[in-house]
Amino acid sequence: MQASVEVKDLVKSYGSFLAVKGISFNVFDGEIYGLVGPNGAGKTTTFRVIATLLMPTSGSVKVCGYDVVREANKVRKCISYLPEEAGVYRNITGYEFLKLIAKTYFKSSKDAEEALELGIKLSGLNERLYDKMKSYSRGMKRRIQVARTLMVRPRVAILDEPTAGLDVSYSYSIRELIKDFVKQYGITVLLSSHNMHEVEGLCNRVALISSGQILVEGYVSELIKEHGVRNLEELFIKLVR
Amino acid sequence: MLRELILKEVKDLIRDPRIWIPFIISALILPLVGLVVSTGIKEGVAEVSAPINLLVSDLDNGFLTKYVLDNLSKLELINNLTIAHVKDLAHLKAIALEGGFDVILIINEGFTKSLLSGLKANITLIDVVKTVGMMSALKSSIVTSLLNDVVGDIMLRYYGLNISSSIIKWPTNAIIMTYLVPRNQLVAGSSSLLTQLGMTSFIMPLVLMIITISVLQMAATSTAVENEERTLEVLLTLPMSRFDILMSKLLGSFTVALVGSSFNVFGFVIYFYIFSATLTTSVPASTLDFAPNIYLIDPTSIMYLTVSVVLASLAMASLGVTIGVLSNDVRIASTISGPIVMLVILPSYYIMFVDTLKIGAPLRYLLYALPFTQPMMIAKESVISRPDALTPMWLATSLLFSIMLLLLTSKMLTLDKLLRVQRALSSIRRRKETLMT
Ligand SMILES: Nc1ncnc2c1ncn2[C@@H]1O[C@H](COP(=O)(O)OP(=O)(O)O)[C@@H](O)[C@H]1O
Ligand SMILES: [Mg+2]
Repeated sequence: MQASVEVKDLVKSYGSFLAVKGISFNVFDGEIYGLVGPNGAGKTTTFRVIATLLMPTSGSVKVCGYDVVREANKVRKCISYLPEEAGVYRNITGYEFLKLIAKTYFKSSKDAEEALELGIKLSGLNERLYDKMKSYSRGMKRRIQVARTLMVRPRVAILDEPTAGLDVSYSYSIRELIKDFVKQYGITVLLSSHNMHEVEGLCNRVALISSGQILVEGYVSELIKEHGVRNLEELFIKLVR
Repeated sequence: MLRELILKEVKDLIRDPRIWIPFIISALILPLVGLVVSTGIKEGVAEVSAPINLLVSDLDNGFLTKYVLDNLSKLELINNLTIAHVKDLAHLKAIALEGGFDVILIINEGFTKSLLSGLKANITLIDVVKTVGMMSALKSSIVTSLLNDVVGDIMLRYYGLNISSSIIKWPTNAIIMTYLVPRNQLVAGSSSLLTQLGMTSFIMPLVLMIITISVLQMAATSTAVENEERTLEVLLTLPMSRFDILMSKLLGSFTVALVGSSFNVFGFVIYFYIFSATLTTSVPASTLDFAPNIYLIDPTSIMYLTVSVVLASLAMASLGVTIGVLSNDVRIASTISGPIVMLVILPSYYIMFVDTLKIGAPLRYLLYALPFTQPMMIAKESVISRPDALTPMWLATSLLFSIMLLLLTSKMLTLDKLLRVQRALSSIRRRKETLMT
């Protein structure tokens, strides 16, 4: 199978502090891959390197076959990134926001129009889309950011904790949105979560990460069977003990 | 209890460097302002208190004038009193220039006769202004009062108490003019010109300050918000060049600022027109061959000034974007921008007091090239002479400054570097906090 994202021996330090201590994993075309671990495990750091925001201290990262350091511009053309806890432009309406993103990704107005249509549908905000975003609830803000990330139909969507801090129904709707979207458009999704339960039903494969190291990686069902546990949470507790 | 809450409040505020840093910085900057201003004032005062070189054209040639001039020349404040009998103003101006005279005193025909009949006598005083210093035009007033003292004294001795005290106090009617040497032009008035020159100098930093603060704050805040809300991370992963990302921030906030400050600029231009119109129309009728013919400030200078102010606010906007990029929240951005505004305005105060025509080449060109000092230089020099001949080039330099600043910032626009700067800022904070507790 073709790998959309290849991370090899990635190390990232902030000053003298090692946040990521040599991790490797591959994300295959068309799958939903989850990086799962507690707060401070190094998920955001890893994603920032993959999204060309941070330079790796050592190791290599390739996205769509391009190196994130040397070919950052090409990488940016094939990804769409949702930062953890991304906010919104307070005095811009949701509609204006989606439109401006569509226009920066697509030169042809037909393509931009199409992306915008898709974004409107994905956001599910209906007439609230024409309100200033400062009036949105936390869930609505997240919803429009997810819609913004997916609507450009990137080859790889990178979603950092897409459901963190949301209530049950918003979390559920965002998970369904991601699943349906991947099924329909065949893009690759790399997401992170500190919620072990939610990734079980969402991701094909996961990597459990803790203190900058990957503990275990593989298909969710196989991992559970292999280690004789009931779920990922039990697996994680078993591994860190 | 109330006491506990107050204590909490004080602790909470004092442990936040964003609160106390501005206090310390402005405390440090104010003495600097004092230093700069006093340097300029010292130069001005030294110039005024130096003994006066006085050129007298005695057109009356009466016995009283000889006596008066003799007494005048003995005064300590008069360094050199030279008497000529020249009516032609152009000729007088030439003599004054050659001999380095500060003031020309013209004693009109009928001086002796008027005084002898107990009437006020007519004189004309011309300040020879070679420079743009704040106080150079004061010398004619000094000469006037010295002359009035001397003549009043004589009158008192001659008439005793049989004459009104106003003639003793003010025995002359003086017409005062200013000879602007750099532009070889006579303008009416001395003190009025002076105040208006002063006004321009005071208003320019004010206009700059208003524009600066609003433009810089706007750009810095909107960029810092992108940091705070993590939308900058989204922008940085868009398929766009870093320079374009910054350029969009710059031009966006600049456009808004320009619309807002265009009222300021417009008002300032009108002020300049009124100023120059007042000076050219208020010329008194005189028997001399004196005909002011041109606008004091020509339209080209006004255009230069307008462009320069616009470019200065562009530079401010790019400085604001740079500050915003380095600040991970809005409060840090405003903590940094306050002192920066002060620092940027500071040189304008220097220019305000100092004689710019005397500044040596490298510094002078630097002041013309930098967007923050340029409007002040143009404003000041277009009043007394003409802005530098290379002004169009300096305008281009100012624009270049903004672009270079932005380019430099775009090189810095990687999350790695930003995090490092922001981490440095917060490590200072942590250290200070441990010291405080
Ligand atoms: N800018 C930074 N400077 C220093 N340390 C950081 C910085 N960002 C994150 N860290 C540290 O790196 C580790 C990993 O953080 P992060 O990647 O955000 O983890 P996660 O996303 O899994 O919660 C944490 O210990 C965190 O404190
Ligand atoms: Mg994180």
